[in-house]
Amino acid sequence: MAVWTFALLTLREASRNRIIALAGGLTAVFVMLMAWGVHKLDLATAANSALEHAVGMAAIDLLAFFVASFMIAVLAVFIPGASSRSDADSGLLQGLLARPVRRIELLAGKWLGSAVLLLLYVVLLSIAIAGVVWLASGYLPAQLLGASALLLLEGLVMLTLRLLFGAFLGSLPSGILPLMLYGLAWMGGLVETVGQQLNVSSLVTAGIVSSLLVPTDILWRGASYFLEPANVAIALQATRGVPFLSSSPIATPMVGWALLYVIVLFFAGAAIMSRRDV
Amino acid sequence: MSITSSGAALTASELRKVYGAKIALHELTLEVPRGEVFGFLGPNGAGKTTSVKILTGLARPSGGHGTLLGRPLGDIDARLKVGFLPELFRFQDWLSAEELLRLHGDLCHMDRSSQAQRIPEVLELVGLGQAARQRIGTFSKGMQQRLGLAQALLNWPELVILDEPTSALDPLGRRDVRIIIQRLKAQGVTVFLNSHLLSEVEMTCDRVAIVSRGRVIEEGRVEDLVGAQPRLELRVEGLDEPSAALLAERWAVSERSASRLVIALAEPRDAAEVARFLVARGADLLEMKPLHATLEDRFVELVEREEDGSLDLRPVNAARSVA
Repeated sequence: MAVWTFALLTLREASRNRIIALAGGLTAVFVMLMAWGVHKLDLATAANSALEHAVGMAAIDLLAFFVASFMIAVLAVFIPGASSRSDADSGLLQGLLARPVRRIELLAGKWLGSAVLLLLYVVLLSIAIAGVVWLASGYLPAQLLGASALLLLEGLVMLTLRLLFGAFLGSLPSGILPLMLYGLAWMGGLVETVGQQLNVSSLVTAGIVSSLLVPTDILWRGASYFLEPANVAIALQATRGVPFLSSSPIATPMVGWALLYVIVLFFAGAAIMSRRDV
Repeated sequence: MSITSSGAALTASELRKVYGAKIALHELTLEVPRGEVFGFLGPNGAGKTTSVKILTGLARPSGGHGTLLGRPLGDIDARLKVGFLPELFRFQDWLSAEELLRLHGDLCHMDRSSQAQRIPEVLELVGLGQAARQRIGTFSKGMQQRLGLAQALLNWPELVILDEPTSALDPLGRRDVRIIIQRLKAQGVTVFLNSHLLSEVEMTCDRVAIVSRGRVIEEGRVEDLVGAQPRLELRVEGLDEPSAALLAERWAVSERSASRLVIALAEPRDAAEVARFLVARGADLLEMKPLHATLEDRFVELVEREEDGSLDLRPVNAARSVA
């Protein structure tokens, strides 16, 4: 089936692409730096109470996953071949699409191959970050799997946005737009936190609307809750919200919305692609 | 999915393509019988590549319809037995030649054993047998075009559409392509050749259509177009109607405007007879010249006349509507 052929092609392209190799290398450097930092912190706080030590390690874990969330979003956007429009303009798609294949099969193959790549990246990065902290302190987030799943979903939202914009925009704009939306969602999350702290309901509503428009930040905050030790989550609840983190689990309907969002965006991209000339 | 083996390999009926206010294709009507090598000619911007894109399903027509191997345009199963070399050929340069062909083999539903047999065969055919494992990124432009041809021939096509297949090739490469086209013809494969190189078209094609500004301005067998019959262009003044009628009775007048006449002669020496006739009828013979030695001459003349508006398109359209 053509979808599998295109998915394998996407994976093969990624495996031979310098940008992906570079991203892998930089991620390895990031994990090593983090391991060094964790080691130093471990030495420095060894004399503190067990609780302080544990909170310090959990904080490192959260910060590292916060950076990982951004790295996943960026990788999702820069997976090679994501702009069908630019591939069509350069002549790369003419030979392929003159074969007995549907355009939606090409897009589905690209999505699937990229999703597998993201899955691998999220799994490896989660294991690396959690593993480093666990080795140094014995601390392991209770719901690491749930957190990784939400980070993957965040990556899939970014990937699908990129494929949608790539159906009618060239490489650069179709890569920049999802990142701008990611920033917008981030800002929406901050506005919501400020609204919670100051009890301004309109700001909270604005934050919720931004989460519906671009659910990347709400997914990260959902993941952050899964990474927090129970006592930290309780402490955060007392503060009525902290930027970038969540003291309550993500609402199930919001996860459903994010999944639906991905599906709707994908089919919108396929519809645009099938109407445009190659 | 089996594809009907009878009927035309390709038909187009009043195909139209409009981009905003610009008409790229203006009612293209064509029929290419199976087994024929068909040349599709025209100046830059005439709508040739747009036509090819519509035929291969890469672009949607704004109007009209057509068929590819007996199936409506856009039907993806028809493309199982079509090979296509795009004008703007670019391949995944991080693949090897062999890997690219395997990718296309998969997309054409060829199983592994057919691919294992066919891939070395087509690579050998286009002279890339030694480069099978080489990365496409290291290929010269000419090698990439050869690979494009191998890709177009991979699935044992019944119809091969080649859009400027020799644009990046040296004279030896062009000769190779000519030989391949002749071999395809011998195997009964239909070839739709879009080319600027009129001498090549003249050597390889059975029939041609000339398009200009999005419409077919001439269509016919190559020998008819290049004038197996010698033709004479005359500029005459003072030719009265009875004399013109008599002239048309004796010789085939193919075109006539105010003072311009084009006459098809049975043999070149008839030119003197025409001159004597005109002088005897009291007309002023201002100019007299033989016409259409090559397809290129015919092409240039037709396109120039179409552009300056002096070409009457009725005969082409009439012939087509009768057909």
